[in-house]
Amino acid sequence: MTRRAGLIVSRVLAAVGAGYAFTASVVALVAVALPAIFGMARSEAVVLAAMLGFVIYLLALLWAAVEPRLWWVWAGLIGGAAVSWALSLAARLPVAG
Amino acid sequence: MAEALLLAACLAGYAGFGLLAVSMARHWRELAGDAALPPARCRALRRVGALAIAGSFALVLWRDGGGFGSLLGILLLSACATAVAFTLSARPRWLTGFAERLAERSR
Amino acid sequence: MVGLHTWAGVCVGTLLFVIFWMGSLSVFDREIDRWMMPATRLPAPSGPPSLDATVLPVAARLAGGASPWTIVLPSARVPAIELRYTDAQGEPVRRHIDPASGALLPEAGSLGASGFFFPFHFRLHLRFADIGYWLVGVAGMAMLVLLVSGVIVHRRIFSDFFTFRPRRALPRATLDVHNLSGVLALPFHFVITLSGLIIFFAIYFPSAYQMAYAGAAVAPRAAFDRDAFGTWQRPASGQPGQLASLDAMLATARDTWQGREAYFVRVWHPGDAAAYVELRRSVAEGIPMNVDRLVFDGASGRLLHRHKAQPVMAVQRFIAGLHFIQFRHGLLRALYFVAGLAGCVMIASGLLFWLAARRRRAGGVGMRLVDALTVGGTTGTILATLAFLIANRVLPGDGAARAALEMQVFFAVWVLGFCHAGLRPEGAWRVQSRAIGVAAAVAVVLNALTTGMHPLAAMAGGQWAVAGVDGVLLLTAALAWGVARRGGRQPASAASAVAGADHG
Repeated sequence: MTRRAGLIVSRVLAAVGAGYAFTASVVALVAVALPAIFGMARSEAVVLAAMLGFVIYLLALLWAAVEPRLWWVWAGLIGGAAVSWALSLAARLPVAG
Repeated sequence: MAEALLLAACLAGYAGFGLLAVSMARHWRELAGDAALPPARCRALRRVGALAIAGSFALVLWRDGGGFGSLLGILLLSACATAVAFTLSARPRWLTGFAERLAERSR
Repeated sequence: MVGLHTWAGVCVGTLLFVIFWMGSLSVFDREIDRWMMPATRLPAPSGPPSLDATVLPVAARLAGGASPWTIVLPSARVPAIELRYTDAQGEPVRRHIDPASGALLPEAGSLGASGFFFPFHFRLHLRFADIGYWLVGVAGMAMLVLLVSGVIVHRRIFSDFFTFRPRRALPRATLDVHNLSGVLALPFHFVITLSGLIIFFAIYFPSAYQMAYAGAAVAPRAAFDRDAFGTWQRPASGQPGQLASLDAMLATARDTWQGREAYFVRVWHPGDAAAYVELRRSVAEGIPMNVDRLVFDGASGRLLHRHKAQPVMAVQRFIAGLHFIQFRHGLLRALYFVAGLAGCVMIASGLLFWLAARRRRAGGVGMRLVDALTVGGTTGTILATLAFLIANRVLPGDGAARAALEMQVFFAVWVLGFCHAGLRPEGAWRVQSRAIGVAAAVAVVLNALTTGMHPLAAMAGGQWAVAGVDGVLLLTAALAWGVARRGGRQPASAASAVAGADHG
């Protein structure tokens, strides 16, 4: 595989894979943060977070496609995913019933 | 009544996009040849065109209410714009006369 | 951005075409169902039928031991009562009942459009591990990326807003078709793609309910469904019981919902003392696919539970509703169909432009592959659809076996279409267009011969669904035939070929 092809594969993986991991983590964070902070109903927060997810993923995909520094794409998406996943674990509320 | 409103909305949408098309440089050249379109007239065309399009949307909203109306308005305007595009490619004469008269008046 | 638009388009274009094609057909799925299930071509129902008198005896006889029984009430688009259950072998069964006489109609022996085209649209008939949903989801996200990047790439679409020059050379004319269909239907395409994704939010972003409902007493998904959709359940008791009047429950529902009707009745644990009945409110009146539900005790007919969507869920149901168009609005339905086909035209012309622009430079394995995928995926898909309709009118036998055979005909013709395009790339699309022209006409003739209902008879009998399907088939035949002929003279007009052939 040439170096150019390798870079393209890496970018596609970053956009689709890391982009999804980032989005799924942010969605999880929003779904637990809204009830914790604003007292929103749990199911409502889930629906809102998941709907926003499509827009977040779209923006992540577009950003990953145009950002010139490939390492920054990987770092941003994976780092963002890790941070929001950790935060969502911390913000989780106990479920009644 | 409902049919009349729909027909009016279609006509307004078609006229609106027709005016916008005439005001665009490349279509104006195709329709009116070398005659120039003064900027003031161009702006007027666009303003009336936009007004007609907004009017078309309002008519559909009035006919079908906010929910169905906004969906129908978007789709109907897409259809009107397509009709204008097909007019320009298949029957440009329908718009040439209008453009020429405009060109004469601006002289 | 140019690279992004080009390669995303080339990679998922064929899949997107198939999804848009099946979606466009699904807009009229109930109407195509009437065409494919002649026994259900009944006069429009005069009023709400009595479920106690018509459905319950049939259900008890056919589906005695099964749980649940699902009953879909007749409507303007579906004149028969639909009864669904799972048979002893675990296979889903769908039967129709005449609401006027209570007579059980003969087995359809067909999945129909609602059982084949519609699931094809969102899960490609690939059930294993939800892979079909995920492929459609990837294609949907790619579509959003393509729409955004397309607006940026084809920068001149706004100055060329109304430009369409069908008589120009192929790459230019194809690009005009692509830009025109892309920009004029852009709002529709963006909304329909995003709303299609949002329908399956729980499949695509399971992390939301998994995290929010982690540690719930039941599984996170079940806990979420209980809150969001009002799922209500209880186990069977094992004691025999009598079912109270379903008609009385329908009347209670009408009062509870201020005169609006239920459209869907599901009886859980029929024949058991702990039976319960779930009623869902009609979605024909407005855009939102409401999740208004009532649950009644089967034995006493007492109301046990009611559910209504909360605000955010109501927004989600509105978005889902404008995608599903289950509401009663003929004009919007027709415009959705045309706009969906415009999407097919946009996708196909984009692929054709890529091929035409590259063919002048060099061929190659990749080129040939995209060529075969494009022809097989566009004209081949249309041809397979028509073969499915023809098979529906000529296959012998009945029941699930016939329905399965019908489906196999679709896939066989589809594979043949790809093979044909791969092995004989020169003019493959023209041969297939001609085949589309013949097949569409044959379907109309076969419908007239096997059911005695030619288009004029259908119109005279008020069977507008049948007349409409026949009419669109005839239009398809004329368009495909004309396009193949015009393309024969000028080998470079495959763009208009696909543009024309898509109007089926």
